[in-house]
Amino acid sequence: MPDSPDLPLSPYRVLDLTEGGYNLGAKILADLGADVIRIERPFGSETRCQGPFYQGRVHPEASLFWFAFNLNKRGITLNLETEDGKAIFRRLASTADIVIESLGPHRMEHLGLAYESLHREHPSLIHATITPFGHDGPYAHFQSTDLILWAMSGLQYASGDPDRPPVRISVPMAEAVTGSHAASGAMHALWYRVRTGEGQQVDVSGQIATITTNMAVSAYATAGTPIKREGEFRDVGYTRMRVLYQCKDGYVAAFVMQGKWGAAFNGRIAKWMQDDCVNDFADFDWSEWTPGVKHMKGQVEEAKAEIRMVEEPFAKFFLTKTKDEIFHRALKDELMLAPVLTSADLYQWEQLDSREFWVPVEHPELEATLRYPGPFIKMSETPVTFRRRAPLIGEHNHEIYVEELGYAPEELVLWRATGTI
Amino acid sequence: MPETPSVFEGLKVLDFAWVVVGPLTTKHLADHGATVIRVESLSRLDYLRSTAPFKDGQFGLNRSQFWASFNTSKKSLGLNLKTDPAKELIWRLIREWQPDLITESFAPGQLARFGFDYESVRAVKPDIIYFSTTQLGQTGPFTQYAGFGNIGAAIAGLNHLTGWPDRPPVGPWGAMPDMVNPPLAMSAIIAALEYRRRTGKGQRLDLAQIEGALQYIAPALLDCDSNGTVVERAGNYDVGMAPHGAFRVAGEDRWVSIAVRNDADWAALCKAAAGEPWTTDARFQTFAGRKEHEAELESQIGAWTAKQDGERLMLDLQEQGVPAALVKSCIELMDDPQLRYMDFFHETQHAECGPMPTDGPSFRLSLSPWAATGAPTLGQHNEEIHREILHVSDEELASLIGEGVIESP
Repeated sequence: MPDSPDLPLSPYRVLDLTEGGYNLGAKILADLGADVIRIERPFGSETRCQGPFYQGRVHPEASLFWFAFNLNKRGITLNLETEDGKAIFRRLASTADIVIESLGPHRMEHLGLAYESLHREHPSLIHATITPFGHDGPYAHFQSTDLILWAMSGLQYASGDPDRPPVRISVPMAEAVTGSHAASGAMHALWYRVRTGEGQQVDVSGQIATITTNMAVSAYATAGTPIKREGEFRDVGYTRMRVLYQCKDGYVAAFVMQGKWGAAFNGRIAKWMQDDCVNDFADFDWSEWTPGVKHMKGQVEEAKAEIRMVEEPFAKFFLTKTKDEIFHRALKDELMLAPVLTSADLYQWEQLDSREFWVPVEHPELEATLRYPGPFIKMSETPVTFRRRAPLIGEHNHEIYVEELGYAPEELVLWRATGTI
Repeated sequence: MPETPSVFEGLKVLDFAWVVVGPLTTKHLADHGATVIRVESLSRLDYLRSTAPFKDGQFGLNRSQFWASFNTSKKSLGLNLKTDPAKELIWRLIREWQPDLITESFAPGQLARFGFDYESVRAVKPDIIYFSTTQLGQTGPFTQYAGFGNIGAAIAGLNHLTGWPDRPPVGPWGAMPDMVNPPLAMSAIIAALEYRRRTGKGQRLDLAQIEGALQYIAPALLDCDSNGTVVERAGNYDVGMAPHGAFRVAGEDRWVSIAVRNDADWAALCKAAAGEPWTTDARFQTFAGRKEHEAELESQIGAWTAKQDGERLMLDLQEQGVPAALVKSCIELMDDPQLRYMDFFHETQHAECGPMPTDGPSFRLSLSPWAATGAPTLGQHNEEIHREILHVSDEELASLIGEGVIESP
């Protein structure tokens, strides 16, 4: 692509053999400029079956899940189970810098495509491999989904209402997080390679990547702090505080601090209340408000009473305010308050608009332009751009096999007939 | 095995970032071999230094396990940035030490008030990579909005998406946007390093944590744009799977999550539960049927699981190929056999507290392994940095400490 801008990863090619949310990994590398080739089985990736679908059309070329995580990639079909397919893959790998795959524990070895052999032929090749739990170990063979990864990360246990089962986030996210760590790992290996010339293996476990979303897990676990699901409250061992309040037109999340920090932030909420003639905290000394310290000293009931003394007036006050009012006051006065936004709210939000976050991408086949969530980061010299929508099934077979690798067009016809592509 | 160099050997990072996203990002750099000087100040103390859990339950600015686990392998420089000599020391670090990367996570403009904005730094170090991260980014009408990731989850749509449809949006545990941004930050920082290697050009990076978090729920966002569908929180419901949820097992607040993806999983589940009436109920033999009668099916499965040992049930179901997992608490994770096998939990040696816990890396590199050393006490490396990097004389150092320019608690 001679007319492309020089992006950080422009010189590099990535072969993407991941499925599901793991697809986000190579998408990040594509956003940074890599030539990512998404390799699908001959009749299309299983990820194309994952909804939601454009206008509800359940069709492999209408999966919004596929669109979102395969933007900026090219796509070819290839059957790795056939001998021809393996030979073609080796040929492709010899032109690539990074292979990223989620085929399953030791699957590449079973296919005869073990890293050791690829590495022998191509010592600078980086192989990032994603498995749910690892290639080996007691759970390595476990079946996994988004829900299973949340369950095994400590996060599900800590999320939800106490009188109902623990919950995940209602849309799948764990695999995408894992993909992101795979991208970061591959980038580490790339930087090592730049300095030493050596490729290496990057081993990413979905369970571990998901655990990293579980804040400071080792710190809490070794302290023996039982992080449990508490609904609208959070209990970190020494303070159980309300973190979600109802407001006039929805909900607002709050982070209520104690001691010196609390004095600043809560004092400003109290000031707002006073401006509105709500005088619960007129003579309140916030720097003395330290229920957590009381709790640690064993004065548990006093601590609880102190918390109620703050939560109840806050709850009453926020009910008189809209999300928008609360956000603007928080912005002006640095209050630790945030409106609970929906996807529709986000698409209309001035902040994202002004940063031109939503990026239109044309889908000629759908006669539609979709607005995608934009760059994951703003880079002043090498801005992330969306250069192409997600590939159709086998869209770049001719371009890559014939024009770039130099196979004869007749070979493609044969491969198609034998189910190789 | 022969010694291999670490990934970031020789990389120099001047780190002004605090709380979570910035420090976690530079922790990863440091654990992989970068030299990270974390600039701290008693007058603007990192909130996490005063955040529980504390070592042995005792409060202390150097005792937070939370802070320690997010700041391994770094050097701490305590400086009162409000004083001119402290600012001059930073300029000397920039001129003489020549950092590759500056990281910061203050409110936009804050570091500029100390004089260390991107343009000023670039005038001295033209190829600097300057990484800033805040909730909402460096531009836009709400750029000055201050907030932690706990409430950032509400802005990023994650609160709305977590909980039950008939109940308030309780959100996921912790500060999800904080925790999902560091890998994005790492990818971008290394990309910027690589671009600089080829072209000699540095650049400025602006990571808005909300925008980072939204990458992970992109399909749900496109659903809104394409179909006008606002995805709602739905407990553990999944549109493409049934049954799909957490089922009570024997013991106090014990649960096993089960996800049946397709008919093969269903057949496997029925095999594991052979003899239960629901396994042969005609209504449940197709996906459409299971979906139509999902509540009833899940209640019958729940009655079956309630008597069972969770660990055993997980193993039995997995043996049959059914995606199933014990819903583990963070404390139980310490005994998770797979995590032990993967050597996930680590201890580092801390100068004041002795052994302190930290998470292992989120990925393993076969040639250039990760190694975390203990997080620093505040100002632990004051002398080392001044003597070895800035070559400050003993008299000058004593006077800087005396004047309160160089800080330690």
